[in-house]
Amino acid sequence: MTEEPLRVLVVEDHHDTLKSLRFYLEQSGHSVRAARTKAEAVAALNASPYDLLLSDIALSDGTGWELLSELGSARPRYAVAMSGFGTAADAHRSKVAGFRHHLVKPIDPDALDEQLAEARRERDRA
Amino acid sequence: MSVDRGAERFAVATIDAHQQELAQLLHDTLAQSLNAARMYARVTRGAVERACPDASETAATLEAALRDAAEELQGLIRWLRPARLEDADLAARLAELSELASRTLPCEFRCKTQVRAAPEVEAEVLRIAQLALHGLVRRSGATASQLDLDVDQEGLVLSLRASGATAVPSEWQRLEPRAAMFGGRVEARQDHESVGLTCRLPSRL
Repeated sequence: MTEEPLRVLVVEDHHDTLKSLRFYLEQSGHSVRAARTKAEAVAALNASPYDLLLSDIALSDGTGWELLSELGSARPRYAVAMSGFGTAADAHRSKVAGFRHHLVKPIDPDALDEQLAEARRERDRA
Repeated sequence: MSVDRGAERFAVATIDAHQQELAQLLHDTLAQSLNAARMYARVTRGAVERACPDASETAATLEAALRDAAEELQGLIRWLRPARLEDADLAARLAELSELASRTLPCEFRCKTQVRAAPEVEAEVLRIAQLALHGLVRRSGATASQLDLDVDQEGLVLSLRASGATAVPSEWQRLEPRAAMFGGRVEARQDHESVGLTCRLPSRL
């Protein structure tokens, strides 16, 4: 049985990271849209529903934490934060902001796969 | 504060700022590129396994090499970036450093008392602990370590002990001026296959 792909929004302002994440997710069979800024992400999330938001914390026009808090009803069902410095304080702040998980860069593909699987379970439960 | 002490603090702050900048540059450039290469290698390995199973071991080796390089660089960046207290207390931050060290060298952290000191003093104790642990992890050859934070009548006492060590890390020699800026002192010692460092700083400036 082929599993239905996830609709994923990746918010990342680093070109190589965005390109590789997008490639990885698409090769894994998912439908991917990309945003480079918080403003682009807000516009994308208000325009279409997504099963998974994968957002960098440090963005050029704000933070991933601010992004999630500003979304209101457009907030996706499952959101995962990404950052280069995985302090306990950062992870805690991500949890408080509403992210389900905080991935530390460099992102372990196995850890990413776990989040994709969890996002899929969450979508299928809904 | 004397002029000399003010100049010392300025010099140390400048060094920390340069390290922060270097860590950020590495994170924003090389670390991101290496991680991108790792993701491509992961996808490539899957494709090779399906299309050409004989070459799958080579593809897995390439992916593992890129993973190791990316993780090593990220570890270096974490050590380079000067530790900051931000909203957490000193013991919590030291526990994080101990956890980071434990990825390479087992490091137990203990703090049995409530610690209260001037923010500048706590920040410096944290930085000294970071530099001391980084030196220990990188250069001592130690096999196990223990980090303690305590309080006595003089102020804060930070102790780091490691067993299995073959040398006192060179970084430890550079900690004395940092402690002296706050009227404190650092003592390093080496016994048979063990090294130790004790840093004492007054609680108040």
